[in-house]
Amino acid sequence: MKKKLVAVLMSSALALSLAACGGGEAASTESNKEQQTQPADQQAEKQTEEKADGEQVEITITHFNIEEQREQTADYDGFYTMLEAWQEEHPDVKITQSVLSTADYETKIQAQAAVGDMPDLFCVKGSWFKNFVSSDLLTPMSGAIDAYEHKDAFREGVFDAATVGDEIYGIPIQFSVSSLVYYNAAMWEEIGYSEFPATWEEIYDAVDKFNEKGITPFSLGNLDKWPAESCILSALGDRYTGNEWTNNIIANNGQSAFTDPEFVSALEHLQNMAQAGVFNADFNTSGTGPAAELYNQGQAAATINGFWNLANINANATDEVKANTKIAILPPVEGGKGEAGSTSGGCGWYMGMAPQEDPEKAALVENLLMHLGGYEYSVFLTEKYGLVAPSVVEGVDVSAFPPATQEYIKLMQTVQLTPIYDILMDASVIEVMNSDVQELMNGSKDAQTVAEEIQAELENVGK
Amino acid sequence: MKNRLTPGPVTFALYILPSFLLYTFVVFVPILVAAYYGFFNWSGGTTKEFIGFENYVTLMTDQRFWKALGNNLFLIVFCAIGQIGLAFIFAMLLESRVAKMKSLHRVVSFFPSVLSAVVIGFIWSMIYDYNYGLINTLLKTAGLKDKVQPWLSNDKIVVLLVTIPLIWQYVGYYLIIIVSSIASVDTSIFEMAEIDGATGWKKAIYITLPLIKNTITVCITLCIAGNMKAFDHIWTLTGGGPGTASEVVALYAYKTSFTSQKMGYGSAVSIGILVISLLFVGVIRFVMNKITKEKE
Repeated sequence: MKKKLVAVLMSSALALSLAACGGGEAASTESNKEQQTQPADQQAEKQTEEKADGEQVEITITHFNIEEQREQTADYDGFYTMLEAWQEEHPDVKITQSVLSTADYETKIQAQAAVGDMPDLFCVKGSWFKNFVSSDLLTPMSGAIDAYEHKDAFREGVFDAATVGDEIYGIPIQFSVSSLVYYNAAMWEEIGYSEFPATWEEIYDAVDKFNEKGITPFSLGNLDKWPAESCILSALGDRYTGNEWTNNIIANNGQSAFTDPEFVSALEHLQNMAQAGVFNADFNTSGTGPAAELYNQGQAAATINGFWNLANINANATDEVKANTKIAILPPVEGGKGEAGSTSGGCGWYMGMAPQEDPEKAALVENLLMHLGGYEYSVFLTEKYGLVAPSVVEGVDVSAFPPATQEYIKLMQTVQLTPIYDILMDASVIEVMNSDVQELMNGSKDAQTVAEEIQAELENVGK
Repeated sequence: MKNRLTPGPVTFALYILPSFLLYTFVVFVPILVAAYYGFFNWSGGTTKEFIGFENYVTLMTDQRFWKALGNNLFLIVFCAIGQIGLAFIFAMLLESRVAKMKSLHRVVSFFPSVLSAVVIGFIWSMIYDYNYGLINTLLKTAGLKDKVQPWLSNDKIVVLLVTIPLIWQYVGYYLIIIVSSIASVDTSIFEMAEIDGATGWKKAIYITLPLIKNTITVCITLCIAGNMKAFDHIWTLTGGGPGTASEVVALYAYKTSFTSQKMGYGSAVSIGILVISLLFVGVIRFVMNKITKEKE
């Protein structure tokens, strides 16, 4: 009996030590992650407690910047660099992080929001603000922004999604451009296009030529349903409807409807693209990863994706593809109301602060938040990665960046940005839209039906 | 003697208490809370608006919910036939004298049951893959190039396609249940039946099946319960797509709550699933009881 007891104790001790040492493994599930980080945190706590006697402030942050992916992801690297710098200045503050992959994060934070149990700082998607603010989950930040020394450096419109009424409730942590056409210039040259086509006729012509050669014209991975909407429809829709329409929809003021002929035309256009063989045949069942690989390995001539794909190309594409990658935006449409030289972009993710009871701690958390999403963060992203960041940083030498990144920086100097649908429209409207767009492109629903269904959901939300 | 072995009512209650409390807080309380939340227009957070039965009324006419339920029904029917039917046939084969290496078959057929649903999802998404998938490769080799397609994009057969992995995974599970129930039947009955000339399928239908009908009822109940909560396979294979073509009720409840941020309505959907599941199970048990009694 005694032996058994000892064995049980030893094996449980072993299990515990394994859990504590497992920090190097990439863990995507939340429970693993928390188990791994907590013992380390507790050790850190002991050390700092010894240094600074007296009570210790603890700040909790829940986010999706997975440390294991820090090397490959600019925003993640930026986040940790800022956090580490701040921690050095405030050694007596204990920072507890809970880190999850983006998809898991969305589920967890929604569940936490449901019970009103929020960490001090957490990531907020643009479209969540209305809900979160009406549920008293966020602290107003306008005062802190006004007092911020670099407030004029923030790009125009970066606070739009985070503004509810007259108050701003979040600090942008990512500047996103969701629709860019990455194309392999050498492959387009081969079929007679020295630059990316400026009209849709030329695109369809090129598509036919590529398909004849057995090359996928545009790779798309729409298994998760958002890519077609976020990366294509957001930009294409604006070409037809113009900005004002989109803003009316976002405000849900009843002045615009999804059933408006312009938007229906955009949907029809998207359906035509899918049926004319513009994309890989399995675009609706392929994930974003495999689709990006098609382009990276030179099996697809182009791909329509967000700015985040830039890092993917720089890291994973063959040297030939890397050297030949150029970036363009979708061509204008005839008779459309939107600006020709625009694409969908803006701030997608923000960091927000839960209401605090203790004013001293509130000031501290606010200070950390302004540091995490402030000017230094943008400087880091711009100088190290050549990204277009939430704040304008001038005088950066771009010549050392990979060719694709230089292309992106060049393009961003001229392009105007229009709202990204899934970041700004109501989450339930987007859910219906994503689902319906998949069926639209599959040919099982027509544009009018899709428009009516999305409109019905919009009206339902407005109730 | 008897007094010493049977605990008194107080002791008895104390013994039961931990399980009872656990069950109450893990099962009953969440169900009641979900039913309560169903009465609110609630998108998460601290503010919610009481709207009475509106969510439940909306659910009655929610076409997407009923379509998803239709997919669940499809799953139940096909899995009942595919899982339990195949399992019964395999059990008969395993019990027959010609079968060799019986325990190996039993163990191997149980393998898929211990795999995580996500793993199953990935294995089958590779089988259905357009470029490198097993099916398309076989079709190409057989010269049927025109039949090659992105299988899971085909909204007409996608529900069937996501059902096949489910059947494949759980045949072994039901096989074990059925084999063990056949094993518990007195072997002399089978011997007598054989002497009387009942062999092959006659023995299976007229002797074995009636003897294990209670087990079959349990299997069908498990099958209904399992398929009403089907989620993970479909989530990894299609995410409910294309569009909502392969969506099941559990997926719809999840999406409503967490993607569309309609926590109140999502709770109402969950309660709807619970009520309908209970109803299905109740009906099946009633029908099976009827059949059993009529024969007796």
